[in-house]
Amino acid sequence: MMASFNLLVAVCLGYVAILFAVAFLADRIAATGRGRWLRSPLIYTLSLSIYCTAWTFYGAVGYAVRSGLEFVTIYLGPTIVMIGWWWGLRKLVRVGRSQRVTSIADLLSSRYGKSNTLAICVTLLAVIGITPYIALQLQSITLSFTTFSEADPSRGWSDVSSGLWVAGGLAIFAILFGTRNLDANERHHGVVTAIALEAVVKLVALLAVGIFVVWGLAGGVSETMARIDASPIGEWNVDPGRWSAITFLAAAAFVCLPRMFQVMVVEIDNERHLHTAAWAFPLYVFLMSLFVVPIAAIGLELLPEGTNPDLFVLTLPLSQGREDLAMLSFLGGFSSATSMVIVASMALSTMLSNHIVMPIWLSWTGSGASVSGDVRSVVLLARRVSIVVVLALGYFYYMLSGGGAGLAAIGLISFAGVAQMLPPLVGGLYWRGATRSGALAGLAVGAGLWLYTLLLPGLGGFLPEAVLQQGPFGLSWLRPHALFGITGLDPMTHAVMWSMALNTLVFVVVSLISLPDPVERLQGAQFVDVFEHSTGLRGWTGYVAQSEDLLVMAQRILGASDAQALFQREAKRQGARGTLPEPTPDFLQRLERNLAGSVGAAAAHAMIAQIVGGSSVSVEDLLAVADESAQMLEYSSQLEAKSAELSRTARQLREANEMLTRLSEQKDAFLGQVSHELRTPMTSIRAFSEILRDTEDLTPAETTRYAAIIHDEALRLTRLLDDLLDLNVLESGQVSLNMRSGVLAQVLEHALSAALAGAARKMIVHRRPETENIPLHSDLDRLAQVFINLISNALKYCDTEPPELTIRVQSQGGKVSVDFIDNGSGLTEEAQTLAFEKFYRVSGEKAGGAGLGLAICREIMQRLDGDVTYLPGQGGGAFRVTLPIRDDVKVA
Amino acid sequence: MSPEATRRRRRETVVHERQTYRRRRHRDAARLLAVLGTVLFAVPLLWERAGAEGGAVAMSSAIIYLFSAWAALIAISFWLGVTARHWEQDETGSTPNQDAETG
Repeated sequence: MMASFNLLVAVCLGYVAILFAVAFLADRIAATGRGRWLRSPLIYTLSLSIYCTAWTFYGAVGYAVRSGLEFVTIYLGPTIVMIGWWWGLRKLVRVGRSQRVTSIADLLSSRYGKSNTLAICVTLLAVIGITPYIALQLQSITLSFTTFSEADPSRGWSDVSSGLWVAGGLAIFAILFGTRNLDANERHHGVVTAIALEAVVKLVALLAVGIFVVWGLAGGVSETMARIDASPIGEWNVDPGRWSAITFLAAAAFVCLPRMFQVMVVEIDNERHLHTAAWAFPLYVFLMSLFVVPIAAIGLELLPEGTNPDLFVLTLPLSQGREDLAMLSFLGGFSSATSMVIVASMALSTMLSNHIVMPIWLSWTGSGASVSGDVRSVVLLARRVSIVVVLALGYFYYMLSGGGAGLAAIGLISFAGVAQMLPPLVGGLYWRGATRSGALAGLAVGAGLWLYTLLLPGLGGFLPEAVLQQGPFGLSWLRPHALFGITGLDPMTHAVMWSMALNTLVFVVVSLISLPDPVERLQGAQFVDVFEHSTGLRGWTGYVAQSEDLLVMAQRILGASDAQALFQREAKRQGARGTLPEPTPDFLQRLERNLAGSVGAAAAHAMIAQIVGGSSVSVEDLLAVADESAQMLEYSSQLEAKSAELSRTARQLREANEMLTRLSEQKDAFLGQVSHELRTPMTSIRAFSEILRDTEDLTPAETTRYAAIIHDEALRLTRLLDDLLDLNVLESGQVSLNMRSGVLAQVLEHALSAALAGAARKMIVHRRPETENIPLHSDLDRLAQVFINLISNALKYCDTEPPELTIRVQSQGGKVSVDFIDNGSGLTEEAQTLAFEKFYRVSGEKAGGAGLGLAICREIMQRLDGDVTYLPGQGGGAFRVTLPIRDDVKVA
Repeated sequence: MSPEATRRRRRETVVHERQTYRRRRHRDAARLLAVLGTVLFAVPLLWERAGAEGGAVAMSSAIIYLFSAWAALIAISFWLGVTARHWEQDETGSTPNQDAETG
């Protein structure tokens, strides 16, 4: 047997390695956009099977030994939910998709007016409810290890240390594959594929043991049936109250458990997967429970008295000398436990980080949306820490409880806890009148009763014996197992009945008497009538929003390139030039949903509200709320939309007008300036040439100096006239381009050396040469001219000492963009709109140019099929030059 | 046209094409299946338990009943799932979204 235990550890490690490989490959394949099978209904159905944890894998047999067929209720509830998908799950999934929710806490918070209080309550309830459940999984893994090590007496084996190892390994897996990215839709292909594989392993393992028992040990179906009838569990003996209560609990928990919500609603790829899952998942649990009673009955018959029935699945093959089968069954149990713990800790960590850690962090760092630092990395860190915290809690619970006790008891207590979320969930989906106050009050009452009547008495030691027997302060009608004097009920039935009934009652009554605020009513309408308003009508009115502030915030959450791409797409959709879109309601809503994928709905809403200035209810929203007077409202909504559009147009016209006026003023000023610029050199040319002409006794040195001055002034005149001519030629389109092939790096090199040579200030230039090796086919001299202009501008106008310039090159989608970013204070908003206009100068006389440089740059770039734009939100002056890349050009 | 107006117009129509009619009955079936499941799984509540005078229901019969009922539900659900593509589409044209909107 020595080899057996070592072999077990080796197989176990090998299996984990395979899981890692599968998750890694699936992530890779999904990232490349291939792998349609990763999104198939089969994978979806298999991932749902994390419902079957170690509790059901090992525990179902123990359950059957203790209470006969009652174990099957755990599967019957979910079966009813699945086959009734048309009523319930379809709506839940649609709402989840259209609101981009990340967890059940997020869904409830979103439904009840994006309330974070509610999200925090749900999260806490979930953590309290799920921690014992995670402990249970750790316990089952260590128990099954122990079973093997007992058969192998020479090994020193410690339950405690193995529990620690298991918890640590699971945390690493969940962190590696569950927090790799902040996908807008929170999908994790790697994890889902790995748990699908585990689903297959546990089904095959249990079927193999079952087939071995029925045909290998009992000798066929009819013999098995006869031996079942003859066994101690041979008669129907299920308490009707428990039968209904547990079926109901299982159905409720199937929807409300955070891990089930994660795989069922968040990770779903296509609503049509429900068509398959509706029969395939019931089939899966059908097969999982098919052999439970035979294994229980035959185990009772063959194994010595006092064997732990929770481990029959393992000990029965072992006792028959079938170590291979035992090994397979061990892997099945291991799979059940690991997949549950991984997904549960991922789901809980999302809830913890989105609803507890992030809001605290944001309020701590002060200004919320505009804080410095990368929110994205904080979110990821928060999730990772939350995973570790959740698993550590599970481990400590396991240590404290010391194992033992039937596996089933803890699982059901957990179920009853999360089932408290059912009334607000169902109410939120089907009843518009459900309010946040109602949901909060119902949850508080339900969770309180659950703690008092089920969790605390179940833990043992938390409630004094006297309270259990006589009630607190001797009030017998408050006894935890006999509230209001109703005795004789099974504690589980009693707790479920009272907590669910009072939860629902309080929820309904408080909802009826309280008044929801507008956002809540709006969300209520969107949830309840999701099939009519699937597109989503709730909007922002962002006339006062500053697009640039939004961009700064979005960059911190989504990452710079993603955020810029999003803003550019939006700008393009609106037909605007440059990178900043108008803050239209449409745009703001899309932005909010994108952010919600990273930080949760409530936080995203709050962040946008901070910038845009308060949430707003548009007429379209009211349309959704008051469907009755829809037509009238629709008419006025059109009016509203039109007037909004008009006022936007008017604003744009006003802006254009202002710009024209300013330009005309500038032109006048410029003409004055040109005259001035022309007159100054002219005056000195005239003066010095007169000196040369009229003065007799000039030394040769003086003659040279005066001639040099005349020459310099003439050159200055020529330069000014050249610039004017250049611009004129470019604008009239008569320019001839000298197209050549070259490499971007060389052009930049040339431009830098030309611009920095002989400069009065020293400037530090940051480049990344490895990104610059891009072949170009363009007018390289003109391009260099543009670069030189931008670099000298940075040199001239950057007001920080010492000036620094960062040159960033990115190529995507057949275009290369070259960003020139300095560390100065950048352009003011007014300057941004005018910078590319002719004759515009930032600081008047200071720099001495004619104000034509950027106008020439823009003309050149447009001739070269590219553009040059100002890039706001980079913390300094920043210009972006975009150029087309020609694929057919090879680097010489 | 507003959703309300569409719905009102739909309400006015009483006689439908055969296909529409079939579609609706499929949807009824999908709804009623959960009710059927609840009823089937509630039957054991009526059974005699161990220690009853007339003798309890044998475990083998209980297993056979429960698992047959279960299998039947799965079979009906399978049939509904396979045909769902044809009947889930609403006349209003509200179809389940094929895939996530990107971005």
